[in-house]
Amino acid sequence: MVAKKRTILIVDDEINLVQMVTDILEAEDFKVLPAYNADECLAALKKQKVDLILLDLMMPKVDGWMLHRKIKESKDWKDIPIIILTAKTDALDKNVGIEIAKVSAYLTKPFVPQDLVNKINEILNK
Amino acid sequence: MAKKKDADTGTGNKDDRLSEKGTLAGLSVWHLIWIVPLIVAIFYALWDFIEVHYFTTTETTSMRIVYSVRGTTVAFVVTVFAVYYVLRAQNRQEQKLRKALTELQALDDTKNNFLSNVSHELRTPLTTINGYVKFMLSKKTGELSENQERYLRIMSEECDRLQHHIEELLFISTLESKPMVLKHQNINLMELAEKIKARMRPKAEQKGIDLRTEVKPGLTMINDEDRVFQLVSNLVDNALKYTNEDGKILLTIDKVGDDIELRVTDSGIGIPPDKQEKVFERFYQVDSSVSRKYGGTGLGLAICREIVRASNGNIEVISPLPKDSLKDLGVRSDEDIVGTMFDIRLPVNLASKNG
Repeated sequence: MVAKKRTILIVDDEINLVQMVTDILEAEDFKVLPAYNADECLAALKKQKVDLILLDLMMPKVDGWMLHRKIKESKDWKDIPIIILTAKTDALDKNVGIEIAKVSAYLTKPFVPQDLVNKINEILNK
Repeated sequence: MAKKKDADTGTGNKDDRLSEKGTLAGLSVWHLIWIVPLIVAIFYALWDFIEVHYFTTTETTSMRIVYSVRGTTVAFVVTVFAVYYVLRAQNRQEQKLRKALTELQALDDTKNNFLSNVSHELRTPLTTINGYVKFMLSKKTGELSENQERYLRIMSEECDRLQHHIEELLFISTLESKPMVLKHQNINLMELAEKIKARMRPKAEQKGIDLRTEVKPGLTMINDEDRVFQLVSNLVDNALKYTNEDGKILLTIDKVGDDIELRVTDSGIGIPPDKQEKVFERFYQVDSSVSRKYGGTGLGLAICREIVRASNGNIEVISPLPKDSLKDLGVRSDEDIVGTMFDIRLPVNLASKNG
């Protein structure tokens, strides 16, 4: 089976963390695009089709929720599933994320890599 | 045996301290209102008596009226002054204390924000390290030699431990900024005990400790499952830490009256009576040499107390163990064992006591 590689965009200002997630997802045969801030994220989205976005909440300047709204308000990108990947463990943030923002999943750092891979597969194969 | 009542600690203390100060020789306004007139009245009665009996020859009703009116007036004026003085002193003292309290609260907020920020900052690098370690352990990056796998496994375990400590720190710092909110879930206690046993078994086996559970069949309670799990597993973890090799630990869950009784008994080193209250304080460990030997953040039991408090329950520590408990534990009474028991009572239904 030669399926087209799925593309995942990871948005996080932590360079090493982005690298780690990239390595792990590439081993699972995903194509991974890194973006270290909101501008890079939007630029990457304009350039190519993305199957899923991993989004950090706490980033300088434009934070995760603002970026999330921008993506969901655009008609080209509003159907891209988003997984929030954050160090915020507040139940409130999580509830806002799932119930109001309707994100596909909400993972808190530190997460087990296999959990992330499973979540991505689960969402993409829906 | 030390009792850890939950109602007598906490925020109430601050207010008590406020009202204690600002009094006249330890007397409150309400004392003064009757004590001052009483003293003045006695004084005038004596004066009256002396004057009438030793200095005047004739006693008239009008003189008596003059004396009593004079006495009452003086008593009234003196009382008003005393009350005014005490209220003013009290007010000043209260203002001082309130100011100190506000400053302390600000300091406490700073500390909590700091703790929460630090925990977040610690998490990000840990995520990366943990991610790579587990990634390599999954052998997706290639085969590992036996030694490499062993090293990585140890690194992975230590990452998990570090993560656990950070979670504890974060948990306790959020608790101080907002109260714990418990979910109302139906908990099957037999399953809960099994889960705890499964989680703790590797550690127990490593130390050769016999970990048993005894749960009355069919018991359920309504409380927050994650929090009750955290509560009991913290206590078992604590018991594992302070029990020597080949020791015994027993977890029993039973129903006593309207409460669920959870007991964690161990054949460990025990807790001296004068330290039994203190083990529930944050960061407290019985002594620093012990903490170096046994490790831990000293937050486990503080978290336990917070969970029990939020559930309107009670937790107490019993050490050394009485004979009956030693027998239940399966230890002969001639063995030289101190042991500790944590006895928790939680309401069967969280809602019934929260109302």
